[in-house]
Amino acid sequence: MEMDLPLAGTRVFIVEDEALILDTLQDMLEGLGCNVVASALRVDEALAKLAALDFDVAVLDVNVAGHRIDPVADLLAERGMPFLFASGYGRGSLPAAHRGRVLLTKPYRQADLRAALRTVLPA
Amino acid sequence: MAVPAPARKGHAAAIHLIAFAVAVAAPLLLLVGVLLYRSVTLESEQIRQRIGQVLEALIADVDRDMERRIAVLETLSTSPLLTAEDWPAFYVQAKESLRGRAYLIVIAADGRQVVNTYVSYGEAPKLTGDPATLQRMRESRRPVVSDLFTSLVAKQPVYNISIPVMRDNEVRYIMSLGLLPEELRALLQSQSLPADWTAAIWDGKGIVMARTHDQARLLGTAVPRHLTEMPPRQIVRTTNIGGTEALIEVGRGHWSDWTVMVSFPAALVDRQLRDSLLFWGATLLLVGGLVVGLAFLFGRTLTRPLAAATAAAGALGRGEPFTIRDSSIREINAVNDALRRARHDIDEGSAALRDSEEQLRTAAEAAQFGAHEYDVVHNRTRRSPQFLKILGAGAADATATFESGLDFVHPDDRDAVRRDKQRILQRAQDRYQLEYRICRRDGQVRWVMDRGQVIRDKAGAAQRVIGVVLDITDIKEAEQRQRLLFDELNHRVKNTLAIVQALALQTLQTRPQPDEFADAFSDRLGSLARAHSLLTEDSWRGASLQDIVASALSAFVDEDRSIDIGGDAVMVPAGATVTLSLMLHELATNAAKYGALSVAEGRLAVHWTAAETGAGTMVDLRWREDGGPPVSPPTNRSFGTRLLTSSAKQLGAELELDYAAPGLRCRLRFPVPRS
Repeated sequence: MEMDLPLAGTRVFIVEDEALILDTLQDMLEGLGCNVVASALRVDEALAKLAALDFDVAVLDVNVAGHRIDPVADLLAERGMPFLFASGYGRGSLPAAHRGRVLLTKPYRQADLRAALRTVLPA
Repeated sequence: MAVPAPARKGHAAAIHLIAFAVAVAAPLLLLVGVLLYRSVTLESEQIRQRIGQVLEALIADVDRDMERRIAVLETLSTSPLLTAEDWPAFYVQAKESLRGRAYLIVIAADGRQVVNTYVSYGEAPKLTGDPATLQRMRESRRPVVSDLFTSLVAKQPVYNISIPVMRDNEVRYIMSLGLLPEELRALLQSQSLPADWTAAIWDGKGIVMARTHDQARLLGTAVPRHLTEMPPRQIVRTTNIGGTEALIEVGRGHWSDWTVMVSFPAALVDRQLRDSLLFWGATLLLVGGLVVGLAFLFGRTLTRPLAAATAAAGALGRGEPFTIRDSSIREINAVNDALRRARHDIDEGSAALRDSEEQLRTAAEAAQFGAHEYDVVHNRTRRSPQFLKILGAGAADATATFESGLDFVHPDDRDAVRRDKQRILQRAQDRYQLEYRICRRDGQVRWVMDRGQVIRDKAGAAQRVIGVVLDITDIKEAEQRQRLLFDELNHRVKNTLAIVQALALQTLQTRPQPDEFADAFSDRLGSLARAHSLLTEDSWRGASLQDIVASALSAFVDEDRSIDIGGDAVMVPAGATVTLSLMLHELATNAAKYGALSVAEGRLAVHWTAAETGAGTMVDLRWREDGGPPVSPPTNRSFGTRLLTSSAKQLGAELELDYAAPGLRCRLRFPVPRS
């Protein structure tokens, strides 16, 4: 893995309902030197955790166990937090207000994840 | 529409026929009347003529008879015996020459009877019984015919025909023939008058001398004055001697002042007139009756079929069945034919119309098309019952205006629909198709497709719009479902690929050797594939826990080993099915490597219970290995452990792992939300 990256130490919050994918994403992020501070398998869980969580960037699934990610995305946008979407759905499935955001299409490579994170994180 | 009142104008056909017949018959009847009148008057004239002729003949007969008598007297007056006044000899001569038919009287100028052959010679009365004749003879010195008087010798009514016998220019003797009235009657009867005719003679004093009838009774009686005073040779209608009405003519002869009368009964003349009148009246009645009867009869043959045709036409108008029989009148039969043809055409037409209406209605009902028709000129829309059904509306909404017609359109679509419809009406485009939402009366929102055709006048102005409306909510929803399904499928494929990627990456971390990686990865892919197979069986709605467990463990069951599986019936949703399958696969793989399934005598039991909770079902699943080698907790976080832990989290499950001496005990309690 590339350890000499500006992503080292980046605190990441993940919302993903599929445990296996969540684990893999976590591995990928850790491989990039990121620190997964929290993850949520459900929207309500994500909203609950967000209240008192300090992180740099969020990776959000779009359809989370049958619920749309919109409230989470809205809240993050309101706070001005950077985030990106990772979804099997196309861009059309993104929340209308966030259709211009970065989208990682599943399945993706670690390199894609790195590029996406670099795009959303402030320089 | 006003129904015309039954026709009562004009006259019945019979009246026309009667008028026709009367017009033809009246002149004929008049002619018959005139002819009858002519014949009656002619007959009457003939009778009158005959009366005159008979009278003339009778007068002539009487005169001739008198002349004969006078001739006899004159012959006797030349007798020398008379001149010699040899009265006995003269008596004999006279008696012989008269032969009893009459008797001779000779009287002297002073009235003394000299000879009277009625009695024996010498027995004659002294004086004459007829002094009137003596008186008249002295004045006229010509033959005299006396009136009726009673004879002194015969003692019965007689009359005399007398001549003077002159001597030295003086009337010396008067010679008379004494005659019985019976002579006159024979004279009257010699004319052989018909029985109803009457002839009579009366003398200058109006005394009846002879009659064809009632001679014995009336002889010597006085004739009524109105008869004696009648002017001669004129036919007068009056009562005759017998007191009955008659046509009477009288006349006088040359020698006497007697009157001869001929009478014909007026009743006969009247009867003829009456008979003729009766005949004419009867003819009138007969012809009139015949005319009316025949007119009625022919009228009926005319009016009956006409009435039948009228009734048939009425039935035709009301659409009722009718049968008409042909009559003997060709023109009416033509009407009947026309009626039958009309009925046939109407029947065929209406049957075809019924069929086509039925088909249309059936088609519309089957297709659930609601129809509407908009009358642009009167701004009025009419909706079919099916349309009202689509709207969930009642009969009150069967009609609407353009604007109120839009009330059912969903508020979000209303302006657009109004704009579209106005544009369609104004533009020369005739066909349209719109899709929009409606709000039913019950509040349901439905999608409809509205297709129609604009009918325009020659100037292109819209007159009517005829359209159909179809509830396409199901189609719309199906479209939406399909879109969702495609999205879902896409997502699942992508998600599955992501899971496969995760499986690959995770397996690679613990099995970096290509051989081992290939085996382990293939096993896990197989487990994933079986889970998908289960889900596909029930359209990705989920799978029963029994099937999930059996499927996940199927790869580890063989002839020597059975796995004890069982529990309550529980349906697990699709996402949880994949997760559970992967978890069970990891547990089984572990058991096969290190646990109960690694030795022949090892046993595995998977049991579960399901308990209803408020939110759904709580499943309590227990994994129990026995008879395997001693187990110990894994030293490092293996892939299996990690997957179990995070998957349990994903399921919202409580996971307990007990690496006990007899074998691994695993308890998984997870909720299954109510679907």
